Amino acid sequence: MIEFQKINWKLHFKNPEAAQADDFFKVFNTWIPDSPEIFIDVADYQHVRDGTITILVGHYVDYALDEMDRKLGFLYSHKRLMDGSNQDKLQNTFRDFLNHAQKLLDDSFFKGKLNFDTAELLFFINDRALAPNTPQTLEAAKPDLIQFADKIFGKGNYTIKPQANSTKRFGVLFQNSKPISISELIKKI
Amino acid sequence: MTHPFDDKNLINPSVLHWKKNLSEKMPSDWEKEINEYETELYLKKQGKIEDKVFAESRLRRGSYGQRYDHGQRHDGKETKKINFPNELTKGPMTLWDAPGMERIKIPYGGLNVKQLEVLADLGEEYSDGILHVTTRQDIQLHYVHIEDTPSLFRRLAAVGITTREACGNSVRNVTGCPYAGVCPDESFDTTGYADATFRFLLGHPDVQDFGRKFKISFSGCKNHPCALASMHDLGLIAVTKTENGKEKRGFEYYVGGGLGAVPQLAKLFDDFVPEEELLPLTQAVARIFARYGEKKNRNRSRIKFLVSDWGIDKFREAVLEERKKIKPDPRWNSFLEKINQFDETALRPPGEIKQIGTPDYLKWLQHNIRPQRQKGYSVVTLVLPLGDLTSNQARDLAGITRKFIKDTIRLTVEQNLVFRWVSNNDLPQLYEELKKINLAEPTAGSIVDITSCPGTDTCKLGISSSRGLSGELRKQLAEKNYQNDEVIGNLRIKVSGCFNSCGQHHIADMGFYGISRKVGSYIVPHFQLILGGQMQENAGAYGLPIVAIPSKAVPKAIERLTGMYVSERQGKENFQAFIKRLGKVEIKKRLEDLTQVPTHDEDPSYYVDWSDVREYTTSDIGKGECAGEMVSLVDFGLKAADRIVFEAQIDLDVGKFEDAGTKALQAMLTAAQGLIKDKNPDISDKPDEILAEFKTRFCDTEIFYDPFARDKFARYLFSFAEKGIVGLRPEQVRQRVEEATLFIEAAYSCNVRMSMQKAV
Repeated sequence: MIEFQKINWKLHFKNPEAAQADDFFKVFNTWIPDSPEIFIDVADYQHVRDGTITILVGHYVDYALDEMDRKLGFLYSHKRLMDGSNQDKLQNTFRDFLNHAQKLLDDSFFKGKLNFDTAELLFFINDRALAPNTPQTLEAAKPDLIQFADKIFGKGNYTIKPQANSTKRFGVLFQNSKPISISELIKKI
Repeated sequence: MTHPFDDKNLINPSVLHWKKNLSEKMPSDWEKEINEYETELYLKKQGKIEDKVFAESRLRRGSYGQRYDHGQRHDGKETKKINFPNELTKGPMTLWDAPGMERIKIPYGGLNVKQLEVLADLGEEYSDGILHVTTRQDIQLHYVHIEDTPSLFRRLAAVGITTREACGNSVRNVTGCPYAGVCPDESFDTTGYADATFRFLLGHPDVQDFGRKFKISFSGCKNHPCALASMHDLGLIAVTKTENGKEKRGFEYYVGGGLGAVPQLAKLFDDFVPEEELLPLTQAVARIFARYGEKKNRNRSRIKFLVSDWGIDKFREAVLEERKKIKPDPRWNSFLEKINQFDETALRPPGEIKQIGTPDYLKWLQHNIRPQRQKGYSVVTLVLPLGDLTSNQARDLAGITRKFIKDTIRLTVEQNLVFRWVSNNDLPQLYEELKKINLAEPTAGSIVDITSCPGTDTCKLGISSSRGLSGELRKQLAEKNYQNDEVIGNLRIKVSGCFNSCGQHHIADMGFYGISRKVGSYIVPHFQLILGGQMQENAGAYGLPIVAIPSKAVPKAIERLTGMYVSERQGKENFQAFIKRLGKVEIKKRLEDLTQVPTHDEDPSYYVDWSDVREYTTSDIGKGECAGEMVSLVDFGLKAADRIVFEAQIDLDVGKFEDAGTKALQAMLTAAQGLIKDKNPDISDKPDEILAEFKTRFCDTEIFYDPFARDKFARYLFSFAEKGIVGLRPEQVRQRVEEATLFIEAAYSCNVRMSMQKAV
């Protein structure tokens, strides 16, 4: 049993060419005024590769257009301590993540062109003290991850693949055999 | 609105993990300092430390404020409050929950693979996944929460990195030539000297009372622009001379250089300071700066003003006089015995460069490869766009390093990174591997390789978007293939977000710094154009301001200036000479049309800065922390006493009575020593000397004399010091801790009375 903190979720785009950094920069800026969340600023890193491209920095959560492992996607990073059980934390963060993913899909700026690839879902614990990227962490985290994935993907409909590179943070890839829309996923949470 | 994950009362298990597991992996004094800082953080959160005192404390550990940390942001229409969960502050006008910047000192830019990997992890866990290399060979992480800083410090310390004195009124990162030890033109390898200077001055009592920061740089030669000695408070250039047939090492010793709003070239203090005099002379310079440097007016507090006001002769005389008074320190020369430990070796056998490959590879060979003094090896420059590297890239880079070289990576003052000791045989393969992680851009040292400070992206003082402009210029100039142009390809562009020169705009061929101009009822972002600066000869000349150009017109201005140079230069006239010949008036005239701002209706894009979507405003600018907080030695002493007595209380609570008693006495002595520092900054740490001096200076004079309790608190100290802690029962220890607390309170009151008397 390990404690889940600093949970990250990521979904890749089916059509990365539709996810332009300049567009995300503009859209993220529209999320700041009058938001109930505490947002600080939008940072532009489109000159670098293999990581953050455009990021909406918040007090609790960052949202980013991210190119980690050279795959463009939408990354959710929870940064502050969370209370509750691991299932609570998974559920709360995933709901938060999906709601913002849906917000992107609904944004008129993208004119309906964005499309997430829900066949793959990435999960990370961005805390090497609590979750070093080891087989032991995977074993300890698995029961919670399976319980959660059973609920959202359905038992037997997915596989869990660990992050192979041990120098990277602990993470798993859920491969879902039955792709499902963001709105349907939201209903399952 | 309260967020569902409000973390106010939670204990972070990660913090406990690092504290426990890294305790023995760092020098004990570093661990002690981090523990002390953590206690201060805790006390500040409880409101027990003054804002400015805690601010100076965190600044001295490189924990800097960042834009919007005053809790407001302009959204293009109006300024809105950022609703951080609490109103607690971590410094004047700086909210506790607002994330900040962490500056990490990398002395002379030297990094090993393990350090690179840890930096990658820290960037990912505590920041936004970006490592930013600065023009002073530091690494900066942005958006770091203050509660994460103790863990961050511990993880750095465990791999030999300290952030201590990365900011504040202290000796900043000691920079050095990234080619030291491998450059064909250097007098000798300066690495060991830079390292010794860094270690000797780190936390040294003589560098704790500066009015402003102090920057040191080491260069191996006079001509190249790799360490920029002339623009430093203390610039050291390696030189040798022959005495009695034997070669002797030393330094051309320059003082009082600096950029900023009032740039000054450093003055020659001595044309040959022998190596064994490097540290003692530098200590004397520090003492003179601490004693006579301006403290009240921050704008005149750098050493350049003291040197300028006194003149170099008077300054030299004072320093040499001071030098005679300093007690010898074995560290002055002990490092010389081990100076060879910095000699590096190769991982792979030497080879020959073969000019065969794709056009891009050949361009990379041309721009990014520099032959080493050691035959068969090269230094490879990895261009980091705007000084940025992602955590993933840094991790991949660590893997590539292991394959080709030993721990021979250095950061450069041009915000790049170099691999040293690359076998020429490996260049094609290394290129391919770097290309895979997007770090093989063939533009090193070219017009596209632009230097830029963070500017309005994250800096509280930024006026215009230096990174936005630099990013745009990189794109536009590369599209035009300017970097491969024979005439203009090697011109250098440097951009700062304000006049403070963190982007080193004064020493570029074309430099820019951010300003604003009022146009009708709008404010429009601009950049002041500086032309004719020189990086060569250790930043040998500073450019001159020509004209203010709207941010959005800067690319056109560069196109025009470079076009003029290509078509009008005479023979092999260099850019500096061309600018000088043409003259400021003529250049200004030729750029005049570009200075015009269209009306808002005609072109609203002029009213939005680069890399922003909001209408431009200057209302986000905050109070800078670069100058640090002016905290006296007395304040520092009293704060330290506070912390120690707090630790004594914790020991009491867990039944460690002996430790509690020892700390209670230590706290009182520290407070007394703090007060004495007002009269004698050189007071020693020895209890007997502190007690004697406290008696004569404060008790006999009745300065430490409470209007009601009279000398009661002073007697606590003398009685405790006389009787000691041996044989004390737990309740007696408790009483001593309480007395220590009262003594420290009395010391604070005494300090207030002294300050009031000074004010009168």
